[in-house]
Amino acid sequence: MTSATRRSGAAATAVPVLEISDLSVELSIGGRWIQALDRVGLTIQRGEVLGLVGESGSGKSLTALSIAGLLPGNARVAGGSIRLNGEEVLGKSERALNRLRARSVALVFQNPTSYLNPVLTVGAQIAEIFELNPELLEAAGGRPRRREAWRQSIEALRLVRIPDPERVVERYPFELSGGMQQRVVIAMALVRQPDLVIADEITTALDVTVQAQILSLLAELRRTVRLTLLLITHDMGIVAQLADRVVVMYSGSVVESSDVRTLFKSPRHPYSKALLETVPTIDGGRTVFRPIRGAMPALTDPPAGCRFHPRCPDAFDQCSRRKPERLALDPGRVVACHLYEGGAVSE
Amino acid sequence: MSDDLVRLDGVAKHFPVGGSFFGRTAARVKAVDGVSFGIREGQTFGLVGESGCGKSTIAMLLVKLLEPTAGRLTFERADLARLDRGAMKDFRRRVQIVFQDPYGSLDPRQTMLKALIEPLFTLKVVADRAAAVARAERALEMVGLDREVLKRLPHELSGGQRQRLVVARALAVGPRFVILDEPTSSVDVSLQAQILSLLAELKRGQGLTYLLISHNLVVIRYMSDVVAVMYLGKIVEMASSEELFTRPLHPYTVALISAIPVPDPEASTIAALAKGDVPSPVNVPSGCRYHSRCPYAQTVCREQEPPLRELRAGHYGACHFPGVAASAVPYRPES
Repeated sequence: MTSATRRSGAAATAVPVLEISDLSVELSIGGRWIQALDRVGLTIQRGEVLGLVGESGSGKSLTALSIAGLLPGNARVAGGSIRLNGEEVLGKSERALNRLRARSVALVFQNPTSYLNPVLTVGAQIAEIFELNPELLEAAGGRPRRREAWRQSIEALRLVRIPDPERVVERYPFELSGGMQQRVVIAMALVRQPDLVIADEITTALDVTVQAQILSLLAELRRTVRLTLLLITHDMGIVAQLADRVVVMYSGSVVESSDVRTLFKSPRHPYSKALLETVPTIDGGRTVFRPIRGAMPALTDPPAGCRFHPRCPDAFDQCSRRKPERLALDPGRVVACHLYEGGAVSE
Repeated sequence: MSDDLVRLDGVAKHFPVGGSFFGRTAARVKAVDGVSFGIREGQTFGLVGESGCGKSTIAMLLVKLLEPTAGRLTFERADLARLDRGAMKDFRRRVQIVFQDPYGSLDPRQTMLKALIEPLFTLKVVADRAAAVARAERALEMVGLDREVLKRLPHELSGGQRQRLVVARALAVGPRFVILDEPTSSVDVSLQAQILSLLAELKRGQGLTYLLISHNLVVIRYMSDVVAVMYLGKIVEMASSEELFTRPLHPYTVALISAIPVPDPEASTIAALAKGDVPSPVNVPSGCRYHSRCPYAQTVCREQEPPLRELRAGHYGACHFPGVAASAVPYRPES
C-alpha cells in the first residue's frame, strides 16, 4: 500500500477489496513493446464505488482487464501488483484465475448482446452459472438443484428490476431491448455474489432515458446489496452521481485520485480541471464548456516528461523534462503534477 | 413561412417490414409520421430523440437519399420532388450532410486529398485539378487541419482528425445548408467540445444553416436556436432552445432533460421518469404514442392522439396535459 492510499481514512484498516499498486502493462505494437500503463495505483474498499475516468486510450479498460486476468494476447504485465481481498492476482495460473473470475470479480461491458448467448434463454444462461458454481446453491435446502437454480434466476432478474421476471426468464436475448439485456447481464454478474463488479461504459450504448433507469438501478443496488463497484466511464455526470471516489487517468497514468466531492469542487491536476470544464451542463443559462486543445498522444510516441504537458495550460520547463511524482496533497488526494512539488500548493 | 430556407410539410416515410415472398407486406414502420417544421436561414435547428424516433430518416429525406411516402419537402422554396437535372446538381452542392461515423464515410483506400477533391469534380465546383487542390487546402485550413494529412489514408488519422476531415469535405463544395447527424457521438469528450466549437465558428464564418441531429440534449442545447423533440416518428414538442430547456411542457422532454446525470456530486439528480423502453415503431401505441412510458398518463392518453398545438407563444407541444411534469423539471426558470 502506498503512503498516500493509507491515509484515505479509517477504512484503511480493513483489507481493501481491490488494491492495485504500480501496475505497468506493455503492449506489443509493430514488433516493439510500448508502455500502455505506467505504475497505476488504486484502491477500492468494500461497499465503495470508484469512478475511473479518462478519454479513450487513457488505459481505463486495460486496467480493468488486468484485474480479471483478461489482458489481450499482445499485452504483458511489466511490474506491479494487483491484490483482491489481499491476495495477489498477478502470476496466478489460468485455473486459479478462472476460479477468481467465477467468484470474486464480475465484469459488465458496454454491449450486452455480445455477452449473452443468442441461442439460450435468459433463464438457461443464469442457471448455467449455478451449474458451474454449485456452492452458490448451498442454501437450496433439499429442493432439487435445477428447480432451485431456476427460482434463483428469477430472483436475480427481480433484483435488477426486470418487470415480470417469470416471463422474461423464458425469453431469448434478441426478444429483449438493449436496456433489458443490460439488466440481464448485471443480474448474471450479481448472482455470483462477487466481491467486486467492474462496469465498463455500461450505459454508453443505451438511450438516455434507459441510461437513467440503469443508473438509478446501480444507485439502488449500492444500498441494497452493498455493491463494490469499479465504474469506468468517460461521463463526469455519471461519476458525480454514483462514485464515492474518483481516479483520473491520462495516457496510461493516474494523474489524480480523490474523493468525488473534493475533485469536483477543487480539481488539482490541470487535466482534471480541463476534463471537468469540457463537461457541458444544461441549466437556465447557456451551455458552457471549454475544449482541451490538442489530442491525447499516441502510446507509440509519448511526449517526454509529463504526458499531458503539450496540452497543459500551466506547463513550465520542468514538465517536458521529468515525469512528475505522485504527491499526497490532502488526506485521500494524490496528484501527479510538477505544480505541486515542494509543497508549492496554490489554491 | 415563406422565409424558411428548408421546410417540411406533413412529411411521412413508411417502410414495409416482414411480409411474405408473394408480396403482401405484413406491417409498415412509420419511421416519420407527419412532421412539419421550417428552418430559417442562419439558424441551427436541433432535432433530438432516442433511437427509432425518425430523426435520421428526416436527414435522409432532406438529402434525397430517401423519397417521402407523403408530404412535401422544400429547399429555397423549391419542391425537392420536382428538381430537374440542373437544379438537382445545384441542390447536391448546396445541401451537405456529415454523418455520425467519419470512418464509415471515408473510403479506406482513398487518400484524404482524393476524398476532398472528388466531390468538387463530381459536383462541377471546379474546372481543374489546381483549383480543386487549392479549394481542398482552404477547407482543411477552415477545420484546423494541417495540409500534411492530404497524403494520408483514413486509418492513419485520429478520430478527431477524421471528424474534422468529413466536415472539411462537406464545406469544400460551398454549401448553404448542412445536416449534422450525430456529429460528435464517435469522439471523446474533450474532442466533442473542440468539434462543436469548430462547427459553431464555421457557421458564423461561412453563413451556414444547420440541421443538428442528436440524441444528446447537452449538444443540442449548446448548438441550437430552435429545438424539436421527436418520439416514434412525430414531433412532440418544439420551441426555442431557451424556452424548451427552461419550460419544457411535454413529459417526454422533461424525462429526457432529467435523465442527464448532472456533473455535480452535491446535486442528486438521477431521475428515471420514462418507464420501460421505447416501443417498437412497428407497434406504435394507440392514442398518445408516449402514454406507455408516461407516468402521468390518463385514459384519454390511451384513446386519443393529442395534436401538436401552440401552447405558449412559439412553443408547440402534443400533450393532453401539458406542463403536468413541471415539478420534475430539474432546473427552474426563475432560480
